[in-house]
Amino acid sequence: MRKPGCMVKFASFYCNMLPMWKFLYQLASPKSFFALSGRMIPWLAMTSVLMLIVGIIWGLVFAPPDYQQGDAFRIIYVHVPSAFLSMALYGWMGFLAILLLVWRIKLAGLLLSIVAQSGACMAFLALVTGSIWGKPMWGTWWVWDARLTSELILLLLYAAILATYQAVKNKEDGDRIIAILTLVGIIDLPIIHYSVYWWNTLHQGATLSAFAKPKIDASMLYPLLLTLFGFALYSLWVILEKARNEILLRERRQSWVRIQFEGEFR
Amino acid sequence: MTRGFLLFQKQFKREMLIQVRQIRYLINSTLFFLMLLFIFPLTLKPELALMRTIAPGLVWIAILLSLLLSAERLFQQDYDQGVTEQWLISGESLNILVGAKIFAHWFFNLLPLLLLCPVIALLFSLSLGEMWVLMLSLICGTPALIFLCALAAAFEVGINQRGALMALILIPLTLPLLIFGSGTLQVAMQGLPINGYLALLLAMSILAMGLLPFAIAAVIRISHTS
Repeated sequence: MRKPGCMVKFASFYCNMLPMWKFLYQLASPKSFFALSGRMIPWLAMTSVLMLIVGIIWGLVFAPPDYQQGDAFRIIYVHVPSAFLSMALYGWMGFLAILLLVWRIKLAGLLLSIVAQSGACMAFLALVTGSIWGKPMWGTWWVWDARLTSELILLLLYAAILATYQAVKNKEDGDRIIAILTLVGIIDLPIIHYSVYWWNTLHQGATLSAFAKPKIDASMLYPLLLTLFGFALYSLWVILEKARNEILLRERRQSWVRIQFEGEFR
Repeated sequence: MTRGFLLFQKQFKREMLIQVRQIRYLINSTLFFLMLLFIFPLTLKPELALMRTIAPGLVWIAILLSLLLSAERLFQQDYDQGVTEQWLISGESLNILVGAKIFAHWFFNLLPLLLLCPVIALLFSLSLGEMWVLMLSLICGTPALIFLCALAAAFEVGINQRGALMALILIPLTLPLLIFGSGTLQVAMQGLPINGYLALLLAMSILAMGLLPFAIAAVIRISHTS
């Protein structure tokens, strides 16, 4: 940085102007992140468990059966949230990778491998539930169409990212390497999303869209939205818990960590 | 002549010289490619229709695997001899150096593949037109493949268990390329136009040639300073 005084004035000007900026800046520090996530986790846990219970019971028991698929469609309440999250988490990883490589925010690098673990689980779940749904609907456990194949590629990408992270000795170098790998693989995300439009495939098109009226009836839509948010908040909860552990491990020589642990021993 | 272009030229010449003087590596990977192509007709039923059906995919898989093997030593030799360190401290653009190196590698590895296309056409009963389509698809698609192999190789410098990890990283990234590459020959066999497929392959190659040197240079920097 050539003019540190200038940058500090710039930053403090914005921090004073917009409280949101200050909040975001503070997120980059491990100590503030640890404190903030500690406060968020009880709320996240309660909300996500509540949403999941209500959504799943509503979806499995109370939502009306589909006129074409009967009761077999109910697996949508697990399949759609996990498929959506597998892509959303990869998108978040892309964002974290840019934060790490451009702005050198080490916390973003720390989160990268943790989000990858959740994303891999979600991709696996999406493939398995999709396969279970496909057997009564399409008559086959698997078909090599575009949407399924690109989701499988996403699962393999997650596996590659996790394997590479394990192979590197220094964790911070591992973060930077998987950041690069994430950015190279991010081209798969639009391929998955648009595959149902670009190719004639067996998998149906998008039911929910941010701008158009949903193509699914309201009585089935609301439990779907509930489980979607429930899954998302649950993943966030797990990610924050793992991130807190990793922060304590990496920052174990800092004084605030020592005070934290000595405080607990007392 | 800008400085960057001169650097590219020098590095390209150096790499070509090194490859020519170590031609045994090229012969090894070409023989491996041929072996893979021989295994399948021998283990499956060698009937005509089956051979023509599996030929497109098989050729691309064999290319992927032989390039994977030859890419392993792409950066290892330079790393062992301390050349990578000299690149890093020289202050020259690592992107151009890496790009020229991989470009030379592509040029050198493509030639035997193109020369072997008539042999492949013979083995799998492809017609002359289909052989030309295969050669075109190779020219358009292999740059992307080699740059991705180089990326996987850059991750592996100085790490244990290199081969398996490289394949794990490489295969998800190259799957779209393989799908379109083999798709080109498949539609040619059905008599449909191949322009779209070739355009897509070329687009992937140009994207890879343009953007991957930056990623590869960044990975080399990180793995070297660790």
